[in-house]
Amino acid sequence: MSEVKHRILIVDDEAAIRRFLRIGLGNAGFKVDEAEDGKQAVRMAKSLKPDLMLLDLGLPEMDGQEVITQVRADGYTGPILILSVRSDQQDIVQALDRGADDYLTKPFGLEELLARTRSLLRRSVQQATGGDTTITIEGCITMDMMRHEVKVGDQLVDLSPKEFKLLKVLASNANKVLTHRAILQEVWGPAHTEDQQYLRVYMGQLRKKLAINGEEPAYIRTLQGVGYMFDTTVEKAA
Amino acid sequence: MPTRWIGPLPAETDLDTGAGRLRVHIGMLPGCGQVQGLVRAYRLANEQNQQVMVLPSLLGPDDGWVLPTTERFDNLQADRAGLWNPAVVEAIVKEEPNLLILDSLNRYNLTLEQHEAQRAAIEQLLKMGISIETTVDLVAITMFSDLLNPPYHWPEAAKVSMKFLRLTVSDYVVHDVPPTLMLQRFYEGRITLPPPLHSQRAIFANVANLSRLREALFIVVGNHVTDQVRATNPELSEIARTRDVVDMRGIARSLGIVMLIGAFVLAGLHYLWLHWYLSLSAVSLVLLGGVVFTAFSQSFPVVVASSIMAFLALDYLFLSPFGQNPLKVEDVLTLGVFLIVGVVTGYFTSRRQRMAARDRTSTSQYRSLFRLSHDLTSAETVEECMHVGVKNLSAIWGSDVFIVLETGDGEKVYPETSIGEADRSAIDRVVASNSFSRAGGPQQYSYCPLAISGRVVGAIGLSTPSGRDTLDPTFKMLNFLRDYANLLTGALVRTQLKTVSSEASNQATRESLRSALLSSISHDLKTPLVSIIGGLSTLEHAGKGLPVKDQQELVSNARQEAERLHSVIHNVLEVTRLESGSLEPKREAVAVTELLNDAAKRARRYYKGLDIIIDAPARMPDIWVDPILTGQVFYNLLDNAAKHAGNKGKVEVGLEPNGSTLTIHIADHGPGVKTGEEEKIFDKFFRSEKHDHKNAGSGLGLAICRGIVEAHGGKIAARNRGDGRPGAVFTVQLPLAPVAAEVPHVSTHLPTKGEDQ
Repeated sequence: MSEVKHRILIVDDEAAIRRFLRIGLGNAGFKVDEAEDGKQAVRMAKSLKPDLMLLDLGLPEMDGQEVITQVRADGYTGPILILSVRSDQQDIVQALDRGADDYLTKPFGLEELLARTRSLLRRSVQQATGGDTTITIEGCITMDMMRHEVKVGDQLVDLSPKEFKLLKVLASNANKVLTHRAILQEVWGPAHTEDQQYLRVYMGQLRKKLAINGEEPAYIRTLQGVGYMFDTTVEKAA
Repeated sequence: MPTRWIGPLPAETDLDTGAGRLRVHIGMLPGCGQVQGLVRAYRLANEQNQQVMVLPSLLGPDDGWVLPTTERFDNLQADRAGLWNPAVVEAIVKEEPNLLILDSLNRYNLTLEQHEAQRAAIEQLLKMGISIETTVDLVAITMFSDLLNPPYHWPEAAKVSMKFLRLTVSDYVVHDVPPTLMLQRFYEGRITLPPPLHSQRAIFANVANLSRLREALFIVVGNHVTDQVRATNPELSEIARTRDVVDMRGIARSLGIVMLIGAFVLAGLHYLWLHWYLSLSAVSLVLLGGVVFTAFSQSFPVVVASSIMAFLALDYLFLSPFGQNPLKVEDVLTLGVFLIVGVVTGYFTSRRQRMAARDRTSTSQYRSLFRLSHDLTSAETVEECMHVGVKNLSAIWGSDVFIVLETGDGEKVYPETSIGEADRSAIDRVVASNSFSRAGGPQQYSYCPLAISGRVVGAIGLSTPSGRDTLDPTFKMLNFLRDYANLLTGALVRTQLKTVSSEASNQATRESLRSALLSSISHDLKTPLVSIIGGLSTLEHAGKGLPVKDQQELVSNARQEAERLHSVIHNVLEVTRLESGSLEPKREAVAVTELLNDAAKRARRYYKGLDIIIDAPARMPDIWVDPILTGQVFYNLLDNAAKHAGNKGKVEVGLEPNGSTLTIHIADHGPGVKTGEEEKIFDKFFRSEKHDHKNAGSGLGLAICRGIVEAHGGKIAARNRGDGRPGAVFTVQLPLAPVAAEVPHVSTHLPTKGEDQ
């Protein structure tokens, strides 16, 4: 562990949950700060500039949703990982639309949390360094943004402009959950944010074209009822 | 007296009559169906190239408002003013449209003045020949004062007078959808609620309620039917007269009486004329008087007969005695005068009598329909509807009446009547053809069909009243029967709906309870699990690498959360037990301070730093309770206080003996109880919205408290601190142990009551 310690802000009103997160993440080499309500979270995000925020949605003083909006409005650009005990998809979608990056449903194990945390941190580092014009997942896909070229293995894949745009939006937000709404807005424009069937159809075509030996790519993950995620960690794990 | 406009839609009627017509489309909710009526009117008028103006609507396109608003109005009314605004009326008058479309007569924030102004404007526009189409939503009916008088009385504060509707609206158009469909539309957001009802969404939107509205609608329609009956009857009087049965025997009898009296009068007159030299003109006058008198009191043939006899008597007895000198011109004239006087007087008299009789019939029919519609509103079941229908109809009909009804379970007859073969086939005919069938031959009863929107579901059987040969075939009566049958089938549909809807609403209540239970329980069960699973997975993942202190912390953390989980599960089970009614307190005399201290200890274990101050006098009388259950009450209340006052909050507990009970106050410094929620917080699954997130209670704790306290015959209540600071005070009243029998010396201490207060 040679790199600088990443700073993580934990926001949860349950002392017991904060305790285990502090110990677990601290042991994994992170520097941990804690906030127990929404207002405190907003203050600390501004003053400490953490590298990542773990945010519970049900908070006293200020609702988790408002915290996201407020923190983003204050100029915080780091990833926000939602911890939600509610299985209500709508809350999660709302949080993602307000600017959160990923979510974990409580209860969860430490391994899962660490995996998500690391992939979010890596992404934010990539973004900070300016981002490449090519995106590569070894052995799977190479995208050249400048040339509008996509290669699966060594084969050039013929994508329609819409399909390419869709893939580009996904890949340039790698390891971040994109809600249906957000993708539709990006690719089809603000008038079509409710037309989920477009997305489903194009996503099906895209997956077929990116398939290797008939096997559809695992790095495009479907999050039922929420959206999609271009997950660079999946392929390595497999 | 306002004019009535009865008739078809503008498409079929001549609009250039000088006076406009007002048509009101009735529906239950804004935008629920009555707007379709407006749309239809709009289309028809456009097809005929008539000029239509549309006032802006409160409803948006999502609520079913599809008509384009006339632009001039948009500029005129930033505040969506309506006809009460003179500028708007002026604009309309200037344009002189054929048709004006108003979205709703009952906008929700109208003052009485505005409403009156609107009413005056409508009357003015109608007089100018501008027709108006508009709607009334029955949800707003509480705002009208006397629409449904007398079955319902609206409060004095009601803002809008519906009087003019009753006076001028002859044409109710009912656009109506069944409650279930309406509910579906409501949840799809296709129906808007008026602003005053927003806070009552949940209360409002259930099938039973919508059924009640539908019921109200039926009453409106029922009243309309009676109005129609009243309005149409006079026109039918001509038909009624020609069908009058000629009663020969009655005529012969009256003629006999008239002749007898006439003979006496003539004898007297003749005597006077012969011996007292009574003048001829006096004699003629007396005879003429007799004819007039007869005309007033007797039927037409008798009057004619008596006129002729009076003439003959005058001619033979007085003018040319003893039959000499037959007819002269004068005689013909005299006869003519007698006849004219008799016939004219008789005609007018009999006409007056007939009109009076008809009015009596109309009134009794009207009353009968009204009584029926009124009685039907309180009929809950099909049987009751039938009972009411039979009772009212036989009262006006004056003879036996029964109803045959096809139900899902086969045919039913109210009341039980044996039906002959001829009658059976008559009923089948009536059901098949939806038409009347008259008694005659072997057929004992006459039948009127009972139809629900064209489908015949049964028939009303009418036995022939004594003194009449057959069913009075006047159109008037048939019309009345039709209306009567319509009203009855309407009520039948309603009762069927009511049964269906009450089932549906029970089902809905059960389901909403279940989902509330699921969501709150799942939250409560999951939250402790987060720390348990998280802590254990950390130990597993990095167990040996962790400092011993951290390891211990994780373990004790997990243990605490497991205990919390246990308490949640305990609560859930407790509620189940309370609900099943199997909770039987095992009472004993218990020291209240012990229970409180015990509960406080448990609470402190979980809420570190919670400051519980128990302010108890040195010696307290014991309470007569189940110690385990009551301990649970105290713990739940402290737990609740801690949740709302925060972890380091201060909770004050006070005790106050009062006669045979002890009152325990538990006061916190949290945000307090919201006004209006003092009762609700004890309801199962109730959670105050604002603190929903933080205080992850299941909404069961206080419900359990209430259940246990009430099982002890005690009381529990919540209020806010009265001392100006925020905070809630929970008050529990529990019975004291029977002192005298228990510990004698305690009773000497009882007067400390005063000190404690």
